[in-house]
Amino acid sequence: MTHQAVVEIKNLSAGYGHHQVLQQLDLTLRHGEALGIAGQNGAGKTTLFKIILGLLKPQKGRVSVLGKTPDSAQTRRLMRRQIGYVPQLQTPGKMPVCVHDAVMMGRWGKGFGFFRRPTEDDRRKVSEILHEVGISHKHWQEVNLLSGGEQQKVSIGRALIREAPILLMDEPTTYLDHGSQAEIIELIKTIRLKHELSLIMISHDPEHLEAMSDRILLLKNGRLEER
Amino acid sequence: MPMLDFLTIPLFQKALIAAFLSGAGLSLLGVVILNLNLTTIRFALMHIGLLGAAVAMILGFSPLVGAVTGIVIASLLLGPAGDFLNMDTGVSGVLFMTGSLGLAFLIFYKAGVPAMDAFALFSGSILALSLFEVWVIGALAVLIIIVFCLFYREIQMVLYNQELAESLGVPAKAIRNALLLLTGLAIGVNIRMVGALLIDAAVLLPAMAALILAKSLRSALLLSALFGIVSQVGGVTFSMAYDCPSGASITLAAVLMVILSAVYGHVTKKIRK
Repeated sequence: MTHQAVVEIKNLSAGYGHHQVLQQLDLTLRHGEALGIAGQNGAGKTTLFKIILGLLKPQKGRVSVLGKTPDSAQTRRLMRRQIGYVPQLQTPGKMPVCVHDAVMMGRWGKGFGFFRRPTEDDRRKVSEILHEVGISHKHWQEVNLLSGGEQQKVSIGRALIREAPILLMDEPTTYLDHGSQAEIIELIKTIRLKHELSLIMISHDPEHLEAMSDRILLLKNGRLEER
Repeated sequence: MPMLDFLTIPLFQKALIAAFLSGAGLSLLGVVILNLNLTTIRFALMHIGLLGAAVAMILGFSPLVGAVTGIVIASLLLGPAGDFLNMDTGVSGVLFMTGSLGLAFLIFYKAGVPAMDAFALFSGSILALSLFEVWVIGALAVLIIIVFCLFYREIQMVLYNQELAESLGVPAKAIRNALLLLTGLAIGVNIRMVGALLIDAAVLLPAMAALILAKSLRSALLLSALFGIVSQVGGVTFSMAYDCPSGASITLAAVLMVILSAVYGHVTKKIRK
């Protein structure tokens, strides 16, 4: 781990309309660091991720990802390319998507994009990643039919295939059984070292965060506190 | 009259061509409506069509032109309005639906517009289509198929998880708005074919049947087109052969598709177990 800051947030206030969720929040994620953020439901953990991803505009304050600030659509795009995002496990939607396609989505803007279809190289990378996260045998299976742990591995695979130096993980172990939780914690530890990732994980369960993080902060009343 | 004799009559030829084109292209948008939870949207668009018809009648235009114009404008506004109000697009559609209906009734009352003339839009007939309207259906069907072919991966990402697509850099809102516009156009065109009250049969039911069996977006789109063609062409053919109303025949054929898909899906699931 070096001391170079990869994500820097200063004096951030954010929310939805008149409802302020985050207030004068400061945060620094250093290169190679695994930072855990704990907080109750509704504390603003997901809002913080939306800000870092440039999906929500801050009301006040400054956000930078590897020196880039989300001032324009172009810089927001460049910021997102540096981030792999693992959203919270969701109830399955109506649309059937196979594991291959779900992971391939992570190559958008990196390998393929508008008027550029996935290449042989993209497909090879999907196979490698599926092997790495341990679900290569489920390549063509529907994501909706997988177990919670396997769906989370698909999500991690999609984030990894972006080859981004920063990973944001929203409740990576929530809604999983004990066995799957242990597997996902182990997987996160392994990929972090192998890919030299800087991680921010948010969870309402500090115990799981302790197993995966170098440092844990508590999000309370819109501010981050040392735990 | 024997079936083959029907095929020599231009009126029925047009109807069958329109049914094929609508089934092949327009029913693809049902997959979008079901996945983006936009089922209230079609009601909203139909009522906005009524408002457009009322305005057109005051201004001395054809009610159909007014209805389609209203639907196109509303489909462009629905997505941004939902974003502005911080509401799901389906929920913001309720605002459009009730607001437009209230305004339409106000216009009927104050301007003395005969409401039944506008309501006539709610019952369409595939046999009453002009050649120009068949061309419009064809052009729209081709446009929809091209859009789905060119932007398959992006549409797949938006339908799978809009927020995730946005986080990956996909202009998800722009794609959603474009799909809403195409949906509005498809509904506007289908009103002429089956009438507003039976629009689900043309747009939603083939997709519903497809999603029961599909294993990917690609197969959902292909099956939706197949079921759309079978129900529309089958419905029109049945209506010719047995002298039944075409809209009702198309609807019942589409309902049959959903039932058969559900039974097939259930049986194959049991066999696999």
